[in-house]
Amino acid sequence: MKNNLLKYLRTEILPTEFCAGCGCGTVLNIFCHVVDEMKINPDDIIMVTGIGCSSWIPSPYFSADTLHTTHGRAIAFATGVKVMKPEKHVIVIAGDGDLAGIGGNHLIHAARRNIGLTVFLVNNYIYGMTGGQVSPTTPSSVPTSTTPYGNSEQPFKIAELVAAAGASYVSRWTTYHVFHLKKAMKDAIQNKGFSFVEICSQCPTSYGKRVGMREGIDQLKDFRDNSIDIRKAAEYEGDDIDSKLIIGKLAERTRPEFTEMLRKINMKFDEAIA
Amino acid sequence: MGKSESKIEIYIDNELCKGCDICIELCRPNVFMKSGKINSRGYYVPVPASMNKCTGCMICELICPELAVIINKTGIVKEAV
Ligand SMILES: Cc1ncc(C[n+]2csc(CCOP(=O)(O)OP(=O)(O)O)c2C)c(N)n1
Ligand code: SF4
Ligand code: SF4
Ligand code: SF4
Ligand SMILES: [Mg+2]
Repeated sequence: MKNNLLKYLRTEILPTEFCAGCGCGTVLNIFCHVVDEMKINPDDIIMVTGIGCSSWIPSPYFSADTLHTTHGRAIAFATGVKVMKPEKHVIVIAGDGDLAGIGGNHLIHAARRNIGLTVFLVNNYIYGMTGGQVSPTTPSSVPTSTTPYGNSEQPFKIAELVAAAGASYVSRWTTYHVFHLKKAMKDAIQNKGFSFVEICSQCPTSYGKRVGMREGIDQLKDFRDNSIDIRKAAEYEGDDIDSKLIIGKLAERTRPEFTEMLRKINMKFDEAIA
Repeated sequence: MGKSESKIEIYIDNELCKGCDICIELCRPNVFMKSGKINSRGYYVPVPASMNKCTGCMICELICPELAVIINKTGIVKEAV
C-alpha cells in the first residue's frame, strides 16, 4: 500500500537526501498532511525558499510551483509573488540561517508590513547543510563547528522578534509536538496577514552530535521533556523558565494586510489621474 | 454500546524507511520492533510486531521523517491530541 500523500511529492527523488532522523522530513510529512486535510489544490500554492537543508522541504520535494532562490532571499522573492498573485498561497519554508541570519531583515520587514505570506522557519539552531556553523538562533555556550569552545553570543528569540515586528499570526512548536504543529500550520495558512511558525527541529548530524544527542530521537525527547506551553509559563519563574522552550501561540491579531493596502492606494492613484 | 468494529492496519514502506527508530521509540504501546530486515540502502527497517496494541493515535504516521508509515483506520478511531 502506497502513502496517499506521496501524490504531493516529487517521488522520483525519494527517499529524501535528509540524514536519518532529521526533522526536515517530519516538517515535510506534516505539511503534506496539512495540504491534504485543508483540501488545498497544490496548483494554488507557490513555494518559495532559500538555501539550506530545510530549504529542500519545499524544493525539490514538494511538488508545486516553486522559486528556489539565493540564500536569505526567499521572503524578498515571495513578497513580489504575493503582490502579483495575492489569490495564491505563497508559502516560505526555510532554515534559521536563511530566514533569521542572512535574510533576517527581509523577515522583520515582511512582518512589519503584514504581507500575507506564510513562513515556516525550521529552527535547527545551526547552519546544518554547511557543517554546523553557529547561527543567530544557536543557544549561548553551545559548541558548534565555528564555536568549538561554546557560543559566546545570545540567540534571537526569533518568533518573539517576528511577533514584535508586527506579524498577525505567530507560534512556536517542535517536531515532537506533531498535532499542535499541524494545527498551527493550518492556522498560519488560513490567517490573512503575515503568518509565522517557528518549528524547532532536530539536526542530529550537525547539531545533535555536538550537544550529546547523537540520534534524531534524542533531540525529540529533549523537546518533549524541556518545553513549556505558553499558557502554563506563568506557573514557572526565573531560572526555571530560562532553560525551557516556550511553545504555543505568541500572537494573533488583525492588522491591515500589505497587498490589500497597496491595491487601495493604487486605486486612489488611478482615480487621481483619471 | 456494541463491540467496536474498528480495525487498524499499519504499513511501512521499507524502501522509504531510513531506520531512524523514531516510530519504535515514540509509540507508547510499543507496537514496533526492529526487524532483522535490511532494505536496499542498508537500513534496518521496523516491523509493526504488535499491531493489535495500536490505538490509532497517528503519532508514528505524522512524525516519520520519510513518510514511510501509514496507519489505515477502518471504523471510528478517535485521533489523540
Ligand atoms: C550568499 C551565500 N552565503 C553562504 C552560503 C552558504 N550556505 C549554504 S546553506 C547555509 C546555511 C544554511 O543554514 P539554515 O538556513 O539554517 O539551513 P539548514 O541547513 O540548517 O536547514 C549557508 C551559510 C550560500 N549558499 N550563499
Ligand atoms: S545536516 Fe542536519 S538538517 Fe541537514 S539533513 Fe542532516 S540532519 Fe537534517
Ligand atoms: S520513523 Fe519512519 S524512517 Fe524512522 S524507522 Fe520508523 S518508519 Fe523508518
Ligand atoms: S498509531 Fe500510535 S499506537 Fe499505533 S503504531 Fe502508531 S504510534 Fe503506535
Ligand atoms: Mg538551520
